[in-house]
Amino acid sequence: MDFQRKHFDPGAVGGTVLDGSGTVAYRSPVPPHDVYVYGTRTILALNVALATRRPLLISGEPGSGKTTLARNAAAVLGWWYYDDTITSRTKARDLQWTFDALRRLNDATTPGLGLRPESNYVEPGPIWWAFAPRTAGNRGDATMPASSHAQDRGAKPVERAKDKAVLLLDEIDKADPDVPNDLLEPFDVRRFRVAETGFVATAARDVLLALTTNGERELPPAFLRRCVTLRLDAPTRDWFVQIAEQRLGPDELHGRVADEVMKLRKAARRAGLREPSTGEYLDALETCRELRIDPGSSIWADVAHTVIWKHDRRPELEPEETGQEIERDTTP
Amino acid sequence: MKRSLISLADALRALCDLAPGDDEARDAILRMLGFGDQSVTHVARTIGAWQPSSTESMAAAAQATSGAVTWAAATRPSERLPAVAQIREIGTELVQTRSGSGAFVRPDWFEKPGDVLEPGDVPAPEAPAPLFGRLWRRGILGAALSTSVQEGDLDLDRILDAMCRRRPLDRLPLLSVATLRRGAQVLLDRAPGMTPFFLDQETLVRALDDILSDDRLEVAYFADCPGRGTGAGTRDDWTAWRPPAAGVPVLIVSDFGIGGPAAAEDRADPSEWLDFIRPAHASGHPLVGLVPCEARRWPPLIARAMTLIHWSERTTVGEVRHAMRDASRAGR
Repeated sequence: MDFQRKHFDPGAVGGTVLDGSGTVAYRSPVPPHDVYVYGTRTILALNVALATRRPLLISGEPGSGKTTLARNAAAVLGWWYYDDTITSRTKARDLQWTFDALRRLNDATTPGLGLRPESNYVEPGPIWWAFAPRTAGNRGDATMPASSHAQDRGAKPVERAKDKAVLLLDEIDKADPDVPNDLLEPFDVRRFRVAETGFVATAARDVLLALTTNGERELPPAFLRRCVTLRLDAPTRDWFVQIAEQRLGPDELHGRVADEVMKLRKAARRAGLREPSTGEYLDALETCRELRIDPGSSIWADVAHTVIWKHDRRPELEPEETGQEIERDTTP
Repeated sequence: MKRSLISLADALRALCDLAPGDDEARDAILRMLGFGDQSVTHVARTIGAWQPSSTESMAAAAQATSGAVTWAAATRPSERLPAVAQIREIGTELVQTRSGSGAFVRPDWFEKPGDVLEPGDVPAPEAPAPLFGRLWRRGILGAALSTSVQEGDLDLDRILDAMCRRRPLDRLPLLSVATLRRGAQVLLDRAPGMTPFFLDQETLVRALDDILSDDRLEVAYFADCPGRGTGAGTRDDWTAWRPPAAGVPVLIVSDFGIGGPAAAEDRADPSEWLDFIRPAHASGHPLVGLVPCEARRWPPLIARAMTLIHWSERTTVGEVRHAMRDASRAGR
């Protein structure tokens, strides 16, 4: 796939080009130093989202790297990074600001406390922080003393920080159906009004909005039409190994643990259970390295159950998969 | 500047900006922007029991009551935008019409007559239109199955009232807001009287699956009256109705004994329905019935005991909201 990596090119900022197809691995210099292996389609989607200034909607099954992608992309770009996980209780307004009415009521009715200016009870949400950290810090009140300022919750990239931001809203499909549409308004007009104080928070910098969905429910068509969409493929054995090699250097253990994880992913799919993800693969790998456990050893099944499988019922492996295990169990 | 839906301009901006060097990259960009097939898939649920395909005869459908069926991951059809190939062509043509002087040059297709459809090009007849139209479906079902939670703005009237009476506030009164968070239990009537609506039931469950989280939608079947037994599998496996968690609405899709053969002996009479409705109400479940017959045919006893909605393409969101408001006032 041939295109200009004009806006997003992990290879140009220290990423490792893995093969001729344009796959690039990038290890983030920002803690927790996650590694992301960018396929060509993912790089293209980020370029399209940045070129068109549209939200990037990332779908894919659990473990395919949806959440890590946004954080790692922020590191590649050298942009600030903000995130928030959506729940069924999340309202679009909570992501812009919240108002602590209880504290205000307490101040108003408790003798000796006294009511403070309304802006003191405003708590900026992730969208406000991503849009305009300065006004979010002073809660929309330029006269507010520094001691009352809110704390920036964003993660700053290292030296080459640009005054731009990536905002990840994770699991947007968990929200009530109206939330995605309600979110579009502040991103369309790049501003919103804080109802309690009347302050209009206006975006002072470019923001790449990344949203993830597990496909639990359909997103409103109007919302989909405004997004650049990227569906991530299910993780493969090679993908796991590439990530492990970028994090930990080459080791034949990576492939063996990846084989075990792929077997358990298949078993989980057959049983209709959640499949082990990249995080669980890396945990298993760390466990093997730290505790010197071999994937063929007698205690491996317990390790795999605890670190990778995690479901109550045991995995039902196909005969050929079990055969491999039995063979390995005989290894001293 | 306010930005609205993904437009042709977005596609052209991305194409010019990223200069795709091959068709694969060009097609990928257009698909990510929503042209052609939708790339975000929604994983539909697995439901137990019967599900006829559109090619099955009604007679076969009526007899079929068993066999778990999985709905595969379904790609939503493109609803509004031209196919990738068309846009690619349009994009190329648009670029070519710009001459160096900026003068408008008519492209070839401007002078050519449109393609003529051959008899073989006529598409196969489509499945029957859903009883709730596509545009209103989400609104109607959302209004029918929403429950209220005290999570809205401050209820200033109640706060003021408490303060005027010098009553301490042990909790902050909030206004009610509607949510679909609680999900729903859906009971589908498989009695002979509902045979003409079996395919519509299937469409309805898909629509519900789109607006409710996977883990918040429970589908079960019954015949004539849920009091006789319900279940997700074959009729032999049906057991006494198991109510969902407290507060979860129950949607009953039935003719409530109106339809079917005139001399049907199995028909449930209103008193049998009341024996089911009253305890269900008492256990805190909002009951909503979808009836494919006009209101004048509804059994008055049942219509007074629970909320009934006409399952018809003529039903509007306003009518459903009105019915739900009446039900709320009547304490149903």
